[in-house]
Amino acid sequence: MLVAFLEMALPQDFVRFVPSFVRSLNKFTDQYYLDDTTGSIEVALKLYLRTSEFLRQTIEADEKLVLDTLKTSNLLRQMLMRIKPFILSSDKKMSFYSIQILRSTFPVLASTLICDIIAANVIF
Amino acid sequence: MEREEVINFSTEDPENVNIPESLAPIAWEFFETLTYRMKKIEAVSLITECLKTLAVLNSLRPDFLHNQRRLEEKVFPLLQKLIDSKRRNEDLYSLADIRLLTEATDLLKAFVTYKERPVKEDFKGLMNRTLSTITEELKRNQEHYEKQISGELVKSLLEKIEQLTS
Repeated sequence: MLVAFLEMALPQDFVRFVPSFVRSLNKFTDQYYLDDTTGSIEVALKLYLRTSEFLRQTIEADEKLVLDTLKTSNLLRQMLMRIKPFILSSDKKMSFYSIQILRSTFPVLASTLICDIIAANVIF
Repeated sequence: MEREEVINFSTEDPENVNIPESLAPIAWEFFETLTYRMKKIEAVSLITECLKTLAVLNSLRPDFLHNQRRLEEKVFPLLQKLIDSKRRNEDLYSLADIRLLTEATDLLKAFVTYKERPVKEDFKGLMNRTLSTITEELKRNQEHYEKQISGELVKSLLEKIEQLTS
């Protein structure tokens, strides 16, 4: 139902809700990550894909709105790290969605105004 | 203590290092995964998706695939492997194969025409030989491909290869 709702939503209206939506989706994904008997991860991937598509479409029309909402690449990084294992999934559909999510985020990440902010202990 | 900090790192940690570029670090983290996915040559449509992703990356940051000869040494050999296995088994190309080859040709064209980083001659020679193998196969069974797959798609691929190799 949520997927159908997102199909009807306008990208620019939805963008402001992206941070809270992605955080909820991350929690949902973490919950079913190791034990997914109901196809929940596939639904989560569909929602991630729709979200990343919205961001890609919006950044073409209104870059400032996306940058003001996201501020840094942290949120996208959290999302991408969750979908990364599914790129290698034996389920072709899951792999297909994951690669598409990655591709949709590239134009957003390429914006020179979005910085990649990571914890220092990764470097040192 | 330091060791524990590294182990316990999470993307949810508070930020304290600011890197003024997002795409390259993330692309770096995903590049190996994409190339690993492309090794499964039976999943042709997924290889095409990976190539499309690399094409978008190349359009945004052309240096990325040139650095460390990523395209030459990691991506191109996978394409060669696919073409060689088809030739060895005398398999005809499927529609999915033709789409993949079209995507690969587009990526190669964007890659070799990037003026800032000229491609080395040895790679150009290798690329031309591989592309001529595709052309030979398409011309040998042209009637089959035009009837069974799509005349337009095959014609467009042949034109793209010709432009790239001339």
